[in-house]
Amino acid sequence: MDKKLEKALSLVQKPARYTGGELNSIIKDKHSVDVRFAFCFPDTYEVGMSHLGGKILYGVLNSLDYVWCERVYAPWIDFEEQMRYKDISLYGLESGDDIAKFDFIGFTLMYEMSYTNVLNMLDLAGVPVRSADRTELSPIVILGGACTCNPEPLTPFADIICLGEGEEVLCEVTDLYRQCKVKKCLKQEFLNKAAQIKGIYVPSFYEVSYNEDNTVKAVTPNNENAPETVQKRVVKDFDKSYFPETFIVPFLDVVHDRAILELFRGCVRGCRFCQAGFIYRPVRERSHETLNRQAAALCESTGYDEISLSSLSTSDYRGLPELLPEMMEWTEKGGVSLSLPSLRVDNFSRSLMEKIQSVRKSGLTFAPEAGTQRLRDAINKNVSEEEIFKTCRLAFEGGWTSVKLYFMLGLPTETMEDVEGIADLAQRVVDAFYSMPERPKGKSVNVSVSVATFVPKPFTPFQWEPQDNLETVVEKHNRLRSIIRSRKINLSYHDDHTSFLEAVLACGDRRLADVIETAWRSGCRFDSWDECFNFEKWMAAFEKCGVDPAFYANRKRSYDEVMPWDHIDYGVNKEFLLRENKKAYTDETSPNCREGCCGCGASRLTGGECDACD
Amino acid sequence: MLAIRVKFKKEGRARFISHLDLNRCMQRALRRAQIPIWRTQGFNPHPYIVFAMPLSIFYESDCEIMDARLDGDMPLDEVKERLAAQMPEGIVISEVAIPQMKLADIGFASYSVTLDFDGKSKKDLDDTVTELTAHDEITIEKETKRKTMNIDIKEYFDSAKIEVFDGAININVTLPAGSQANLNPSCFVAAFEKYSNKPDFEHIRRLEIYNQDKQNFL
Repeated sequence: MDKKLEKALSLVQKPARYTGGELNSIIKDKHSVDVRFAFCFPDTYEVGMSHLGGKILYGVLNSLDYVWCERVYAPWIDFEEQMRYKDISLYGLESGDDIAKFDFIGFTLMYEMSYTNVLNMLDLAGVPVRSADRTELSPIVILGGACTCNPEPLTPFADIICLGEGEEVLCEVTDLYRQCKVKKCLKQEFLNKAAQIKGIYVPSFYEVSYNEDNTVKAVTPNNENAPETVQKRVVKDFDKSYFPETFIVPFLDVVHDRAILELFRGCVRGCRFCQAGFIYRPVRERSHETLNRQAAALCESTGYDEISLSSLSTSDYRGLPELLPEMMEWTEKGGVSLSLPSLRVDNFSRSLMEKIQSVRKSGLTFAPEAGTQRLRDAINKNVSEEEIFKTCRLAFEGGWTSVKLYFMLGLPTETMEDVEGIADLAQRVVDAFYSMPERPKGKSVNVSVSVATFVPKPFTPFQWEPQDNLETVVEKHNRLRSIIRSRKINLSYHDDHTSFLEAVLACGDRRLADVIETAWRSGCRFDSWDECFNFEKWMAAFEKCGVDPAFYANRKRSYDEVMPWDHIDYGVNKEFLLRENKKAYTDETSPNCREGCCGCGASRLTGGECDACD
Repeated sequence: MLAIRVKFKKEGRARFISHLDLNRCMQRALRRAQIPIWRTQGFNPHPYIVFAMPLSIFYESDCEIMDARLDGDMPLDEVKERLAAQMPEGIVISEVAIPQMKLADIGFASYSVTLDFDGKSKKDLDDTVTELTAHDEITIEKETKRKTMNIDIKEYFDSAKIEVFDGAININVTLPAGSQANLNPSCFVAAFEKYSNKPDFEHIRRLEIYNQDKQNFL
């Protein structure tokens, strides 16, 4: 480590964010690899190190002997200041080498509010932020992750974009690059070939035209190698797909500092506001034998004493009755605790509760999402009031006294009555506690109500829907606060400005790139952090670029409007989404995939097979 | 149940690991090594380990001490071997033994303090040291939890072995350490800052720990 860096590190908080050297991090000989890959997570070390996708792809890429993949996280503002002042370039944690000299700089985009960090990290690396200004073959800036289902706002900054799951496609891209590097290809030649790989989107190969009313007219390929629509990639045999035998064990206390198992991908539920519920389809499960083996290997190689069973709606995993007892045979003896972070109210059983409780007791969290049954039906959150109360009573009987309820405000078709229903539901949970003779003695109940603002997202039935404008959101917050009387209820809600910007970026098109760059150049980064988020600077950037953010966030789109992401295919088809949207307006629910197929279309990605409906 | 004492070095990249993080790191290493360490029997059982003296972040050390209890049979050689295999870069297990002294017996620790003065010649720095040590008392502020007090560290300058190079001063010194009286070697940095110039950078390494009678702590 050179002295300049050492001095910088002595002046910042948590220097271990920037020093690497953690157990199980992979060190290779840089002279014996052909491709160097900087895997960047555009947020702090603690957040990025908690990301399972990053662990999987780090493992996949490093399993190729010709690739060395290193981790890079966004330096916190104190270290950024030191880096800029002392002229330290952004480096890979494993080698300490500048990533500007790497072959790939990859970013994983998990939330819209991390976009400015992408630009900031490229800049800290000394790499031009715009693809057009990077003329050499390397570095190739590649984007992936959940947000790339609508990558349009970031397209001018990216060379190539991975749609869908990265395990296989990243290997194909690095292999292609390696051949191109040997042949000393131009960047253009590499991009021509990359565009032919399934799941790879080369945004510079597409022209976007606009109508007079500012909506998108068409997105058309301008390169013969570019397909008209780009389909996302999925791993077909999920049980056999790559999963790391080990995780890097951080020194710092990161957000999710534990072993994580991925039970399945996709979700059978189809809640109409939930992007994750649609973009990860089709549902594919891992067998409980595989999972048990992976869990044991992870704990042994990391020393973790906690395992999280992760997926969307974890209790929908069909192998749970086999998996839990199998795992508990060794976890209890070894003092390893299990946690199931994503449970649904309706199938939360007593025995499941006891199983989690036998090791360690944590809080209970439920997401009814809406305050009235009518609205829950409209958003297809198929949870009945009866189920909510049954579960709460079960929990109280089991000794829990603290319940967290998640709601969303501003959902399509919502009325003030629905808003008031949130307070009413919370109050009745409190009442239910006190009406129980067998409630935990001498304890008071605590109901936390957490309210998020609805954000319309691409590839959901609500992609056509407007977000409530800021005044309406504030009005609803005030109403809610004014009618909550009980001191047993704690109300908290998300920052309205953040949700608004999230809606703009999620549903945006290419014209937002200028806004993102302007906002970043005016000092915006770490927008998901309250201490850094500056709404005024963002608004100034919209103004300066002549872009109206309300056009993206608060406008109802017509069914025949061309969406900025219509040239991207995530499996679920538009007709299905449209049907679901219409059903919302008649308060009509849809069955979950296992009860009956609604024909979302995602099964064509795996060739007709779908775990959910077989 | 057998009490054991693990002695280890902490150097290189590991000097950026804080005390709290080191604790977690060791807990996990003990689990991976499958050493039968006695676990606390409370609500949240975890391997019971105790560190002798927390080492400040950025310091290196040749003589860190971690105490634990074996809850089962395992030869000490094997404990050492297994634990050593699980250490991250920069933490080196040097010895696993049965404790001979109590942690409360710790009385002193020796340090090597290297202060960088970029661009200063050996002669300049010789003058700086001569000037500084000529003072009758060298007082610096020491902050405790309750108050800030002035302490005179002149005696430690006198007892220290001070070597001067081009651009750097090295101070080899034994200071009171442990629960009764403890003096952080950063007091030398503070003294230079107050009486002459602030060093551009400092490297501090703990070399050895002693009991109240200045015998090696075992």
